[in-house]
Amino acid sequence: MRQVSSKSAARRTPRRGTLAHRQAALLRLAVDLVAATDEAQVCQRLVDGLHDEALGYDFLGAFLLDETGDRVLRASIGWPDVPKAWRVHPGQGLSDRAVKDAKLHYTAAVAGERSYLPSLNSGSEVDVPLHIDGQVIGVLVVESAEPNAFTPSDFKVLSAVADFASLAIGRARLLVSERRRADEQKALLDTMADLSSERELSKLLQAVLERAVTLLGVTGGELAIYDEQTRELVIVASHHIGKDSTGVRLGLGEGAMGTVAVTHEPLIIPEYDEWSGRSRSYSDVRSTVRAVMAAPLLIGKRLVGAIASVHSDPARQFGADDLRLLNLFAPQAAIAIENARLYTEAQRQKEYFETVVVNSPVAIVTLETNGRITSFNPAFEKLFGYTQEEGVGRDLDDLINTAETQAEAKAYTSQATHRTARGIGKRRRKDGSLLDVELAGVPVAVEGKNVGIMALYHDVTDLLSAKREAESANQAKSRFLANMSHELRTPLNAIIGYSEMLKEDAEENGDTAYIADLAKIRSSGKHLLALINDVLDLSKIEAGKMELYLETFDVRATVDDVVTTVEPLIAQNGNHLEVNCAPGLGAMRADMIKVRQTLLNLLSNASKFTDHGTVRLDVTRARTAQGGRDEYTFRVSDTGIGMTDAQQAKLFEAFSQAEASTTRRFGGTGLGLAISRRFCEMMGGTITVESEHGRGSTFTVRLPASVGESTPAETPVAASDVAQSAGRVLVIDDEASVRSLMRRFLLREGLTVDEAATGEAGLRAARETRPDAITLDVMMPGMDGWSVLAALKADPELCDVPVIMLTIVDDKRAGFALGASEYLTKPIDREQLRRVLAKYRPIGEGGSVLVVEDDPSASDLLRRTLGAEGWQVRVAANGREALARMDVEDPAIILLDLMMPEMDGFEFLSEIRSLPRASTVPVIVVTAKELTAAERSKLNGQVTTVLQKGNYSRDELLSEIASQLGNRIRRSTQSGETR
Amino acid sequence: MSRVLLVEDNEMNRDMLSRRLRKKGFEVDMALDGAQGVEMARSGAYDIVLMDMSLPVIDGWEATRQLRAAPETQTIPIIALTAHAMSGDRDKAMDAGCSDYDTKPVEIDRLLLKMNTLLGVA
Repeated sequence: MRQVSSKSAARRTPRRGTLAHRQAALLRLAVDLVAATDEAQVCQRLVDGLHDEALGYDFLGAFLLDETGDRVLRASIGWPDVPKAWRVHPGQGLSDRAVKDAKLHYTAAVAGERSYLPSLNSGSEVDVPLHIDGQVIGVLVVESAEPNAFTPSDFKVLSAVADFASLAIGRARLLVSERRRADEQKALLDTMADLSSERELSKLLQAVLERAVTLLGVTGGELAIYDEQTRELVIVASHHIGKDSTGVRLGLGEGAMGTVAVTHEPLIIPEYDEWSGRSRSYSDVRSTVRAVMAAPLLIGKRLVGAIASVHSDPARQFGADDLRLLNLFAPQAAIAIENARLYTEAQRQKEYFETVVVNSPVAIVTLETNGRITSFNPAFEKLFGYTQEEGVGRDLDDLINTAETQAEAKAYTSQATHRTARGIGKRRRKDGSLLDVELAGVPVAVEGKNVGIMALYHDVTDLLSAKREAESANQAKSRFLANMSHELRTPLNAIIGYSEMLKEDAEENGDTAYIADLAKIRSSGKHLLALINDVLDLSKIEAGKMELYLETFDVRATVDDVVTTVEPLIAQNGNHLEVNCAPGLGAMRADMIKVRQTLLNLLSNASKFTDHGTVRLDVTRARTAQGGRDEYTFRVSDTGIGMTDAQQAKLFEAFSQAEASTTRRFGGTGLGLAISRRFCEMMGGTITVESEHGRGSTFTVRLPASVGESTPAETPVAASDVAQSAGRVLVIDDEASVRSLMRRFLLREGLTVDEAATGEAGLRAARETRPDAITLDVMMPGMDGWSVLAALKADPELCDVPVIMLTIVDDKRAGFALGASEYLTKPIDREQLRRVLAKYRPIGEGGSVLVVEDDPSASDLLRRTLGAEGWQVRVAANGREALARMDVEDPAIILLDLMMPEMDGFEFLSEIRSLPRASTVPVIVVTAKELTAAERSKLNGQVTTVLQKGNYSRDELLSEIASQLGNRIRRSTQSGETR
Repeated sequence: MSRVLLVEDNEMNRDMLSRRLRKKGFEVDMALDGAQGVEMARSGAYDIVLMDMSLPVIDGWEATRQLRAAPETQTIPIIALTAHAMSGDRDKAMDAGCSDYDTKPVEIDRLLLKMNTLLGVA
């Protein structure tokens, strides 16, 4: 063994104590060793105890092996200049042999040994292995300055002591590892508790770091968060590394943490000072940091940060156990960082949306699913005039509606609980004023569960008034055109008429000099007239005012008529007309005038641009391949000048004859083709052209055989049964018997029938099948007919579908008052009553009223009120009495209560309606409750017809449906015009 | 010879149409407004009425309705003549009870064809 220095004559002292002394010293040593709590203490007590005077060993050293196999000096006596934690590598020194073979080695004369590290005390030396379960864990070195100083009895004593010390070390280590495991558990529990607390992230991470440092038994450490934006690590926690490194930023690959951030693997740097990867940020801590261990913080494979621990203890080396400990903390820290990031992100998004909502110019209000307001934005406050305090918690529909708009608003809200509702309507401000709003209700779903509604209101008052202004301006334009047309035609009438007359006279009198000039006046007049007509047609089309006048006519006859008309024109240019009509053309249903005008236009054009050539008209009828539509094709071809592609492209635009000069050369207004094309489109057809410059042109018109039957230019809907069906009717009724009856009626008429047993199912079916008409029962469990109606009318896609309401009051025959002229609700408003009656008052004075009312006081009130107005009043207490009175005299008007004993109002109505004499008498129903204002407005406006259930005949129902379907067709063709 | 009642307030139109019709061999009497037209037609002296629609006193539609309501003129052919070419004019005239409809300026051959058809001549 190398001994750095020794002043005293270190040798095995001969001053040995008595046997009793020696035994007492060994016993003390044993007791001390057993009481030691860690291996360092064991080593210290081992050398201290052997140094006892009674034993007489002066130079002692206790080495323990570390993970690398180095002997590390843990305690020594008599080696004053040997450094603490002196390290001897394997293969060096005399004690190496004992480590290798786990046996005691005695070197009597140290001086001669090659492996002896020279020292001043070179005499003799005993190396005793320390081992646990046959595994060498260290070596006890005992020296003497004298050669040959040790005897076999020394060997026995030292071996026994070494074994005893080994046991003590083993026990101490066990103790330490158990304590350490307990510490780990506690540290982890503490950390987890931290994570669930709401501490600030940096404080939380600082706590995690400090706990890791403590547990690892190291000097200090650092923790960094990865900033994805800048791709840097930012130190957020720093503990005893020689400076406060908080806030330091490390690039990827920079320093220990930067390295693990790239490799995603932990890293141990035993000698930081010698490590080439050091970051410049840490040049000032090189002296305090000896070794570094770093690990990345990962969530899955994503980097969120890095953790490092450092120590300055040269005796301490980072090993697998340290790494294991560090890795216990790394995930915890990673989770803390991730949680914080998610929280911040959620917070940021929340703030973002709040900012959007707060600054939105659109009024936004959030509701619970029951319609109660949970919040609204400043735009809502501004639009409706309510503050948060006034609004939150209230029912939105109650807050901003009038009695008239309430039902409609409720329907929107109920729709918005499951799907987006849109519409335009009137809403009320806090100050009572009304405004027009465009509104949208959107269901708010969290994890697939509807938790509320968001409603948006956009003030369209100005927009609507602008629209109304535009519409009225447009109407003014139409009126102007109509007037202009009249004003222009009147003088033209004279010009054309008189020139025509003069021309005839001139021809008769032989004044040939004037004939040509008069002909010019006449033809110019005619041209001007044609121009006026075309401009008028076109403006009507543009304004959507052009209507289709549908009739069924024979195609062949119409073609012949057109040919007769156009023949003189054809002859003018020396052309020859060929007409080919396929056999069996039959009749078509279309606007004959427009078909005629289109054909005339095409034929006269063909002739105009053809000189001494052939104009051909082919007419055929066939089913199209797609959708199988029955269609006519009119093809007009000529051998004329034709057109270039560029000319063809602009052909159907208004005022665009091939060249401006063509107008002068060929005449015409240049509007004919534009008008013809629009006519064809209105009828659901097309007009196309093929032409080659100099070779002639072919115009092809395709028109459906029955206009209005299939909607124009729409993709054919799997046209199987729909094509044959005269229409599609949705029957909504809760009673199966009614549904099956309706089905039988309607099927026989060739209608397609869909059924729904509840209001909700009915709405779904309506949206899916888009029926042409709906029959709707009023009394249904759950969603009743009025609600269904409101929902239908609120849906822009369905609001045009005619709805036929079927209703009963009870299950008897008493139908809801179909025959009634007016409805009044009790209590009766005098002014209203007066107004209503005035409408029915016969011309001249007087007039008799029959009041049918069972309540004497109500009856009396009516009698006095009406009497004051100059009516003659008769009173009946029930329907039967009233009928008896009517046998005597027919009243001018009847006021009828619905709920009466004996014969109620409904029965009475159906009775008098069956009397020819009395069927025209106006009846005003006075009802206590049945009809709310909203219901009445529905009856007057939106309900197409009310029929009495149980009382309507099959024919009535069918004719009603047929007429509704007819209306619908007319509507769809009208809307087609506006295109 | 067929007797025609021409109800027309515009002097030029009246003059022109009457001269041309006379030339074609019709006997033509003229009324200057709707009321006069109804009164003259009720005399039973005419085979056909040509009725302008925009007339003073009562307009052509109302005059037609009144003629149709009276037993003596219930079946007399009435051709509406109107400069209005706006939508619905044809329907409006037919609804009022006119037998046919033509627009002004009159195309004499077309008008003659319609008249002759209604008079059962052609």
